[in-house]
Amino acid sequence: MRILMREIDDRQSALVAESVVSLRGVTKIFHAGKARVVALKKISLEIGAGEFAAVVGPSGSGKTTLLNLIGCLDQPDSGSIVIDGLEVERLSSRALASLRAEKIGLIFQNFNLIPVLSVGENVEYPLLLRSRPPDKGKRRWMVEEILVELGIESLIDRRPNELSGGQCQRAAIARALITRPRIVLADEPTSSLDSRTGASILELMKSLNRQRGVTFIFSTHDLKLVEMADRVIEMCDGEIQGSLSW
Amino acid sequence: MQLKLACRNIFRNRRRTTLTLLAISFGCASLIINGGIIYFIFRGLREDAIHGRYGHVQIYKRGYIEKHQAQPFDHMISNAEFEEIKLMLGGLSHVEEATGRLEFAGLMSYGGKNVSFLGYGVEADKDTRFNTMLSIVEGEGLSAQEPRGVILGKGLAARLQIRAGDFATLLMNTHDGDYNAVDVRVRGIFEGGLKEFDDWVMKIPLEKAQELLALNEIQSVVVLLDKTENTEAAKELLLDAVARRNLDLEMTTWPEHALFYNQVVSMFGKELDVVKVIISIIVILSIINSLTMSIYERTREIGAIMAIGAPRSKVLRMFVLEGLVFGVIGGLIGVVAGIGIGSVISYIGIPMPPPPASTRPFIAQVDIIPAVVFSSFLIAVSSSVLASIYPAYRASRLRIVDALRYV
Ligand SMILES: Nc1ncnc2c1ncn2[C@@H]1O[C@H](COP(=O)(O)OP(=O)(O)OP(=O)(O)O)[C@@H](O)[C@H]1O
Ligand SMILES: [Mg+2]
Repeated sequence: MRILMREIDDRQSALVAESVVSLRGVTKIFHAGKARVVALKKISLEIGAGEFAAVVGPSGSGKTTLLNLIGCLDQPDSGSIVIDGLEVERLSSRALASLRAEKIGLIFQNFNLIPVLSVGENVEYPLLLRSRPPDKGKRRWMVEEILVELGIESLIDRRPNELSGGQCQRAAIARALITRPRIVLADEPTSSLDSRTGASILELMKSLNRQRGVTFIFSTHDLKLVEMADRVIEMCDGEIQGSLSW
Repeated sequence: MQLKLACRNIFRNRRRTTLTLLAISFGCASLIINGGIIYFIFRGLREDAIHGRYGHVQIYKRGYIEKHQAQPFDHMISNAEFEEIKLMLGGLSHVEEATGRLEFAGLMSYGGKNVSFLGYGVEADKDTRFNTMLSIVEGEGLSAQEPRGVILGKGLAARLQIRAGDFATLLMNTHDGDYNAVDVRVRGIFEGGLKEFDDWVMKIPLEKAQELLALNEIQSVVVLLDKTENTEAAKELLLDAVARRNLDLEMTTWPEHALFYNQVVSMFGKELDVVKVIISIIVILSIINSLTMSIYERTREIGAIMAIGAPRSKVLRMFVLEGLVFGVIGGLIGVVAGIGIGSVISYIGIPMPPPPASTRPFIAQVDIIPAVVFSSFLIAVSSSVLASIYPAYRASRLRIVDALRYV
């Protein structure tokens, strides 16, 4: 399937009503031994509140690097990143941690649940990282609520190694959403799953996006899933080739 | 949650954790047992000194302590004063027994040999009670029935080549300078444990000693207490009573005489410190090893928790907490094992060669000293926490993106 591309220039992207992610001239360079890899080349990008955006592109095109920068897991070599009005480069490591805890939810390809904690405890964990954690009763209630919403309330006391991949990813989504973040970033959330489970995970993400208005940015190789996105950012060799929204 | 997480993380790798806990608890238990044996030896030497030679408290005429080296018979307690002291002691708590003593030097001759000796005039019927640490190896002890019957230290008897039942002649100066000679019968030969003592001392009934020296006085009153721990308290009471009765007396306590005991305590105290350092190092190395491996295996997980918003300091605390949990669990197991094994050892007893300067082998036991148990536990815990700091720091410094890519 061919995706129609439409160039969006800076002027247009600035028109997005309320942008939660804003990248300007972002470059990221990796040094692997003597080799120097420019993973992102002067990328500029605006993502508005409530978008459901897919990042696509061949392997090595810079998808993960882009999501890591948006998620404040790494710092660009040049350019500026603004997340929900905060200029990232000005923030200390502690402030970045708290920004991640308060505003960003992360979903990983391989779930990265804490194996020694139950599903309920894993989901509860990010609440404890907030600057003002809710009390125990409130936390319990919040955990139950989100698990019900994601249809995994029966798994609350199970450990991650007792779950299927799809169940793990649902638990991970619950963990990402429990703090009601502004942005959820998911780097290949479905590629550890079979295609049907992957599709159902993405549908779940989409419905959460619709119901809660949370901004989702996910990367994927699966073109079928791309159709579900309402915006597609195509990357190639560290550059944004095109950005299509409808 | 943090504690729960730490405990569960520790028990993720059962085998490694078991080994680490074994190292910590082994270290802690060996500190308790080693310390316990040494304290048992201390106690033995102490009680040996007290019940074999010095008693708990020694009462003298004022001036004796300072002058007795030069003028041993100038500051004496008269028999009348002795009676009053006995009366006074009768009403004091902690005091169990008191006896008079008179020390003098002289020559003993037997079979053509002359050997100098240190004479102890003691109350014959009380001597065995004051000298429970002293054993008669040949013949029998002193008796009030036989004023001329003496007992000799094993070393002294050996020098004279004399045996129980033999007669010998004592030769000495009376306090005013005349010579006096008397025949005595060796009733028995004793072993007191301290070689120097056994090589020199002859014990003789007090009345006979006074007669030989032409004295109606004694030099000291030796007091035995219910417990050694009460020595200082009893001394206070005694000083008080002496002041109230207006007696011209002064006193010492056993540590001032038991110089050998003091030396041993300070020497073995150092040895205990060395063992503590060695054990700490073992604990530190095993914790570092265990936590480093654990961090290695959990790299991606650490990346993930930092990614979802845990600050570096939280990661640091997480691993230090694991070190603490290791230390507390290992320490508790060590305390239980140390006390348990120590009790079994005490029950069975370890045959030991004679301690330094002593003549008798002994059966070692393990004294369970609360302070030793506590400090061993503390060493286990503090070494574990200390050891966890470096691995924890390393974990907290991981780059998130690298940690997440780690496979
Ligand atoms: N830590 C790193 N050290 C060196 N080079 C890196 C590092 N991380 C990424 N790169 C390089 O940067 C480029 C972009 O990598 P990135 O992981 O963002 O690609 P991607 O689009 O996510 O690929 P994939 O679809 O395979 O996940 C690649 O050439 C990669 O080799
Ligand atoms: Mg990638």
